[in-house]
Amino acid sequence: MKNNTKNKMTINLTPENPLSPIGFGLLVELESDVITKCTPQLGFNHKSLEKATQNRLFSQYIPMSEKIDYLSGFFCAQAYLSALEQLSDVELPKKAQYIRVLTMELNRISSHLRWLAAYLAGFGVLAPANLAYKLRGKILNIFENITGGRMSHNYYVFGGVRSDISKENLIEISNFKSDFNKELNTLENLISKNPVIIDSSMDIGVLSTQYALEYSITGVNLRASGLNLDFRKEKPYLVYNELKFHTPTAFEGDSYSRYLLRMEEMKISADLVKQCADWLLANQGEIFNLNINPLDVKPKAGRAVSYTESARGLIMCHLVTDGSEKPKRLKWRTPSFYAIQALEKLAPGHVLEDLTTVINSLDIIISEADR
Amino acid sequence: MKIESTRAFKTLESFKKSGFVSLLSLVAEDLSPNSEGEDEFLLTYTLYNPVTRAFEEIETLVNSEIQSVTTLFKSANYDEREIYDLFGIKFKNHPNLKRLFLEKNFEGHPLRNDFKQAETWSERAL
Amino acid sequence: MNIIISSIDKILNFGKTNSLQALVFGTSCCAEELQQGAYSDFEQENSTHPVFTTNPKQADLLICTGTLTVESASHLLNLYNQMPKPAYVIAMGSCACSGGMFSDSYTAIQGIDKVLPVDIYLPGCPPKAEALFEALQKLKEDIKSESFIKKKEGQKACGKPVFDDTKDVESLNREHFGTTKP
Repeated sequence: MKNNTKNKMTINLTPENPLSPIGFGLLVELESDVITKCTPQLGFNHKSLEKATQNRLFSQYIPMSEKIDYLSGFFCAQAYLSALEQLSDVELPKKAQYIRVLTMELNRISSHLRWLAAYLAGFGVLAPANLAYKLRGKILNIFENITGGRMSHNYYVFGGVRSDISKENLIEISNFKSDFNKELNTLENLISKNPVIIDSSMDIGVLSTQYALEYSITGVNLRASGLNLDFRKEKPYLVYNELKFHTPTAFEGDSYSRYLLRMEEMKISADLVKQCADWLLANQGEIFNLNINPLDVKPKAGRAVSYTESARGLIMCHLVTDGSEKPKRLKWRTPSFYAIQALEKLAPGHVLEDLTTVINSLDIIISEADR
Repeated sequence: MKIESTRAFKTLESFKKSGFVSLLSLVAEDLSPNSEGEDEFLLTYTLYNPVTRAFEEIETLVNSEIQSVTTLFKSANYDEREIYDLFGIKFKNHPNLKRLFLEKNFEGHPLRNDFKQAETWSERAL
Repeated sequence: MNIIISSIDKILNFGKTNSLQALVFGTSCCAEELQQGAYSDFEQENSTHPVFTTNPKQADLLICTGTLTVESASHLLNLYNQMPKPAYVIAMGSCACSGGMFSDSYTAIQGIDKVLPVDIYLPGCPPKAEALFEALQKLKEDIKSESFIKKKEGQKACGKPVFDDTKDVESLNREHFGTTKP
């Protein structure tokens, strides 16, 4: 019996190939245009961020912690500082908590807009991608007025935030929601009922709830499969139990439902931004806790874990201290690490041209996975 | 809750049957040298039950080898490869125990307490 | 005789500066700033800014953004060896200039000028998109002062690179950058 190996092929997609995703490689085995096996190769972006904590003081590590996930720097800084504040029993004043929530929700919108531009560019639809980048530029200008930097901020300190937001900036932020909704509606009318996008993304990359829980996937990827799990309501932190919002879910689990969920989340975040800005315009308070010195941090010896819901999923920060002025061990649990692992299950069965759609719809950032 | 390393697999299996389906994270820490002068590591498993919405943390002490849990939780595949890469702990019955982040011929395990780094790049005459 | 050479120089340099094709080797945060600037504020085809391509055999400008690790150093050298010479290199971001905040890491290389010859250094973490276009203006002024009699050796940067074109890429291993043994 002849061994039919005429149609089998193995392709090695290194990171500088235009077909491959940014930052990691794929080893793909094909049988006449259908994928049978897919193995990711990590390690091209491993910068040893976990070993670097052993040489730095607690307050010197905050700018490095923002480079774990460079598109959502506020979430990573909040995760690190929340574990540190649990160990030292420090309470934040109310105004600092509202400022933190406002910057984090603006960061969620800008991260989803950048995802949308990359997702649409994978289909070859370039004009709405330019519109999404322009909208994101307005949010980055707001960040520059508040913190001084567009992508790396260094704005949170141990016990609060570094400086106050002025009154003109607050009025501009509270008018942000109505302009943003109008421009998002023009984007949606271009894309959501477009037959090109519906045909290329419906029933592609279907992830069921059972597999999502076994591969430990959280965030939008899990909520598109049917389970409503949001760590802002499960383990509330800061002032999330005083604000009014809901979390939508879908039930099909394919790429199109993940796209619809992210568009819906952007509108909910814009509403949360307006609630925070209205509270800040009406109330006064302190910016950081006046009883502590943010540069001289010496927590007691122990362990702490913090849970944060970022734009991609759940970020956990495990911190171990031993009473000195430098941390002993710090471990980051990031959502993209597990989304890459789920590719081994999702990719087989698709045609090679659908591989970019599957990867882009899972929202993977490589510096989170490699650290 | 703390258990011994030889009973870890059976305890996790009984937890999975009672509904704790998802392994959220697996953390390792280096505590060596212990009172007898040997290597010692502390592993922490975090489990989640979506029906009763409960979290559970399980800790074990390991010397150098432990049974792998890939047959119970599929997300432990990359977690255990990362711990082997950075600490040197071996997992029995793992389908593919190879290095994940570093190159194949890297010598040593970086996050151990007795890992000595070479002098910094800027002092080298290149 | 000098008038003929200088007028030929002017025509050749005019062609070189206004038709740059750029290849982006981006892995990290600085590449996001480059995309934000290139796709939203400035239109590509209409001005004299470079056009982005993904084929190294058609490019003559290489923009390196982000941290370089030991595993991806051989891929970067592969790309540079395939580009037709003369080729120009811009190091964008503080990690590409001299290691940045990862100065005591066991895998990050301290600056790409240990591997490639660099023409323009652009520090920042990340630099603004307008800063990148100022660096491109400086590069064009440097190209206009070239002459076609003296061939460009590509050594404007301080310090010599470790490898030349003839060296085998597969012989690249950690001994060239440092050892792991204490």
